[in-house]
Amino acid sequence: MNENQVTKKSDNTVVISPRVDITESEKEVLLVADMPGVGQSGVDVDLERNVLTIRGTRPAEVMEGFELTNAEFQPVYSYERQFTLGDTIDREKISASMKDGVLRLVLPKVAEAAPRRIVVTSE
Amino acid sequence: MFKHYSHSILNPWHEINNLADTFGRAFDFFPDYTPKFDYPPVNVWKGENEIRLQIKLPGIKAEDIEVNINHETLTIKGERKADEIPAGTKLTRSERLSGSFSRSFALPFPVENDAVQANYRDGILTISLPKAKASQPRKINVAGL
Repeated sequence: MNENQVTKKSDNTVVISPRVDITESEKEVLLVADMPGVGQSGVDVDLERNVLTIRGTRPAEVMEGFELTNAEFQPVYSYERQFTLGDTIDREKISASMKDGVLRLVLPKVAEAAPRRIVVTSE
Repeated sequence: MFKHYSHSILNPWHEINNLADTFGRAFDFFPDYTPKFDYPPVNVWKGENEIRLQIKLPGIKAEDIEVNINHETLTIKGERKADEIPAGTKLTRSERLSGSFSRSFALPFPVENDAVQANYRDGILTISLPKAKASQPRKINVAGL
């Protein structure tokens, strides 16, 4: 299967869950999603609480005078997928770039909190 | 179980996808792919004077792809290289497809080779093949009349 899960919405549009690669290092998590057909202006990256939503839309092309004779993918589609972020991610520093239908998200991790000794005072 | 064979646009296997009204039904059966797994996925549009192919190929470089036309066969071949994993990084999820591919299509009519255009934008490769002038209907003037 070329792409994961396709959902057909009530208005007959198709939403595809894009294929992603996730890599992790000590300092950051990288999320790369294949969303061919989506340009920079069609990308939406949303973070609410700890749910990250990536969306990609493209304008529906009108292929007037043409008949689809070999269909291997839905001609009209959009992308959407959600991820749960762990506490280690520094939300303020998330960055994204889009090129050739590939979305790259850099999710830096919070610098480890230095161990603290809590002083107990008497009342 | 799934054969890989050279596609003909008139291939009977694709007949169920040829009619606009059965299109929806075909996709209810097979959510987002035709019964055989082909990479990269290709949609072929046929017009009266042009054939147009759209191929989903995100993140590919010009030097990694080759489009050839030979008589009435169009071949798209190339390689999508996987991203390098730097040292000290672990791959926790790997779904994206990469690798080499070669797909051939039999064209339903002769095309004007010199006028074939290929365009890559936002991860979609679009190939436009105009019908060869010689095979377009022409009204021939009869000299002497």
